Amino acid sequence: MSARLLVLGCFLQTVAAFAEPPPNVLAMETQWAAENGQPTTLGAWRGRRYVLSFVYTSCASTCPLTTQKLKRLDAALAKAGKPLDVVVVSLDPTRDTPSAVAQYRVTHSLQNATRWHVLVGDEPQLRTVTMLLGFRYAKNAESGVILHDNTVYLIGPGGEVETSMSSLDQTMTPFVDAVPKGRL
Amino acid sequence: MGHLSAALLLSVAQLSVHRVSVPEGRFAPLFGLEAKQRDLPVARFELDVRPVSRASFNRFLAAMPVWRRDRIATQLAEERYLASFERLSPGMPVVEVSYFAARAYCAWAGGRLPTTLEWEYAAAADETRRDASLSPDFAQRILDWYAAPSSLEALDGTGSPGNVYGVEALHGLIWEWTEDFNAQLAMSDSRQSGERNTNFTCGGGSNGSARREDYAAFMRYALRASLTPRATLTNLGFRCAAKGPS
Repeated sequence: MSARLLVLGCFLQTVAAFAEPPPNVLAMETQWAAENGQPTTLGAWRGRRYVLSFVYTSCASTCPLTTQKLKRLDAALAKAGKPLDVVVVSLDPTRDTPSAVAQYRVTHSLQNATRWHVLVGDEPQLRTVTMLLGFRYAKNAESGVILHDNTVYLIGPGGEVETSMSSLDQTMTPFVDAVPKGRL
Repeated sequence: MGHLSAALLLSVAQLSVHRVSVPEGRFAPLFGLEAKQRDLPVARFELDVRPVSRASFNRFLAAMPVWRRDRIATQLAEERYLASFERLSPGMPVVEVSYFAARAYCAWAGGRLPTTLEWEYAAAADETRRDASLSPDFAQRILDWYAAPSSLEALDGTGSPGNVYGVEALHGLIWEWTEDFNAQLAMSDSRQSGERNTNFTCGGGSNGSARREDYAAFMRYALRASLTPRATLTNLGFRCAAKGPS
């Protein structure tokens, strides 16, 4: 009995020593510009669940796929009776000007997507929030090409990551199922 | 007498905030080049002569107490954060410091962390050459440093002598955080999440690397790739950079 407790104790110690706390986008404050030009923070979504993703508007390879995936996710969540805001953070604060973001909405037929919010910050803000999430990106200093992860996050009411998926995954059912029904 | 004044000078150098200008240039990093690129531009920037010391970091903690060991948020540092801080002497580089805390320090001190490209660019220089990284003698000195066991006492060392830019201890003392330390993981074709680490596993790890001879740089990239931003290693510290005057 005591040996079993000892084993359990060691196991719990190991877990305590190595378990990473769930990533939380509110562990540090980050500043962004909303599409209307007003400053905002991810704290504005505190108390609500939302979808968080990263793209850049001049991206030719995977970003259009990510946006198409987000649109299908948005539709699936609405159909399941649990619509969420979709927060899209720009990976390219230099080139993603207000007009580039407006064009992004036109390109992807998102002009009337009121649940969508495109946020543009600066390099340090972007580095902070992506480091908090473990999302990796690198911009080539000469070509301007940005290589990046394709993770889409479900952010909980306290800023914590509740689940995530690759925007290139074949199915989004587990992600949709992870969203509880209810007002949050 | 001569020894005493030399020791005094050294401790003054270690305590004062001291930055030098690193001129613009081009550099071929180990990872991050596109197919037809031979190197990348590096703009002129300022870099601390030495890693941030315990004494300097202590001033930061006094001014910004949320970064103290007993106050820091669990998402921002591992349990070991600053655990040996009281045992470091003032001139030793601060270690056991997470990426988030290192970055906060640099912002507080009016700078930022160097990018990996900037750090590697500066660290490729020796006392006389701007890029000595592919010369066997330089590489061997660095590898000898890396092979030496690390300990708290070893933090009293001086590290590599001032290089051609006047930057000291880029080698031979501690590992250092960079602003985008994890970015090379995304530089391989990462359309599938499982494929990201192939830079370090395929072709003995050298596949896709620009300078297969630079084994010391490879070790640094591999170490950075193993880190999370909460990491608090006993031989990992940082220095700050700043944008050069335009």
